[in-house]
Amino acid sequence: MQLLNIKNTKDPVKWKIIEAIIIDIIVAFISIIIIISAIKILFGKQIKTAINYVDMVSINTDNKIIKDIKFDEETKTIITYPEYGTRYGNIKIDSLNIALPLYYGDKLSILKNGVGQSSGAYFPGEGGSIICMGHNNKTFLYDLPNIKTNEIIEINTTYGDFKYQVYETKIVNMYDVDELPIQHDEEILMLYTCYPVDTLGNKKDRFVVYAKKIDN
Amino acid sequence: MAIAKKIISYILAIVFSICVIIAVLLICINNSLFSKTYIKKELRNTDYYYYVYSIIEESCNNTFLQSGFESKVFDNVITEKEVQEDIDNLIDCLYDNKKVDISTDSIKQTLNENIQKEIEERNYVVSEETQSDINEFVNTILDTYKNHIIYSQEVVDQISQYLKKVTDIAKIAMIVLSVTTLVLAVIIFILNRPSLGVGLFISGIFFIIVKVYSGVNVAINNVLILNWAFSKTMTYILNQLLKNLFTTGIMLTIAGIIIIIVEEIAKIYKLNQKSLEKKSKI
Repeated sequence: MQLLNIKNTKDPVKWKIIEAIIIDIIVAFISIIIIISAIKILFGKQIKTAINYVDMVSINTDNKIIKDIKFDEETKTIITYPEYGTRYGNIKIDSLNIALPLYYGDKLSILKNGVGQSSGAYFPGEGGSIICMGHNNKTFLYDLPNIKTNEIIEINTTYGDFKYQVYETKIVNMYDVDELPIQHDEEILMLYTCYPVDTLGNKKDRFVVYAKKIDN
Repeated sequence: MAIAKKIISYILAIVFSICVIIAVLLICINNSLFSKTYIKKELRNTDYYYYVYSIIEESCNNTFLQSGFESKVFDNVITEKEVQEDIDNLIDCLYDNKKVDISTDSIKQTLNENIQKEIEERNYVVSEETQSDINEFVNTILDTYKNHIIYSQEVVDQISQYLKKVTDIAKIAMIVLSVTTLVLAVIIFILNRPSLGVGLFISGIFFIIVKVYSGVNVAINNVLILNWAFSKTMTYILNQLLKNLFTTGIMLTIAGIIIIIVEEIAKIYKLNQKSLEKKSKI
């Protein structure tokens, strides 16, 4: 009722009301600026550190994933890499009747489907060490320990076919990473599986096959 | 005198708004991060139990695939229900400051029974070395399970130790702040009613700024802690928290504006009425 009666009052009252409201809002905004400035002065460093921590444990989702691999024949380098976890080829050992899909990555979910290629090494054709691995059950690399020197391992990818000749096999401890050296000037395929394959229980050893690239 | 009263009321409004900000933050945190019921509810909402179960299954599969056993050895060894019970138990222990103990006895028993069955079916002669490998295989499965439920016993024990204290302090702080806020509100109401609206408006705008600032500067949705299941739940909870703060901010801003307008109109109308009465007396 009181509010309705304002309509009957003179204009200066309306202006007084508007003026009072504006002052209140200005005071409120000034207070907000003061509070935020105080927070910035008192906790600015801590807030920045916290944001940096969040950034550290964040994954960058801005990177576009390129699914098609582009290989530069001249420089022997891959221009666009496959998406992590995708199948980009096959690995074949005719002498052992092994033909398995080849995936980029060595996560457990990838190894469930075929042979995985370590993301920390080179791609086939790039001229450096290629590290591949697979499980030792009958679906995958159970027969790998039967491989002999000079036998051929083939890798067929979406960007080219590559052949490797076995020159050595070794049984190494699972923690002995020195047995999988990264070569930068020679294309060597290192394919391994858990060893022994015919016993039950945990396997501490790995059967590694070393093969050099040969011309197609 | 009137100006002094107004200035005091504005200063009190700033203090009042700070109290409201802290009280709202404490209420939101108390009802989310510090509430085990809420955490369990959100874990269910984000399918955390199922995801952890999948991760455990995948990790165990890795050990299993190189073990030489048939797939049926792993049948009914780990169930989603068991994972859920153990995670709930972990949360209870975390919030009640109890020693976390995840029992893997039933998993061990089922796995050993399945292994024994397969050995008998295959007429496999188990040597001493193979038995040791089998035992190690079982222990690896149990460790994998335990690690994916607890992640780090040391960290869990530390969090558990402090969580109860922090929760108790937060509850006391919330009561103290609520009383202080109420007292301040009464004082401001007596001194200059519109300032109460100013206080609410300040707190409201502050929460809106927090939401906008965090949206621009903090990549909450990209956070990856421990594993994607945990990260998904964490980002969901943090986003819910920010959403609640934003909603509270909008409500406080609107309430503040309404109080400022209504109270200023009422105040000036009253003053105007008084001056009119004075004039008519003269």
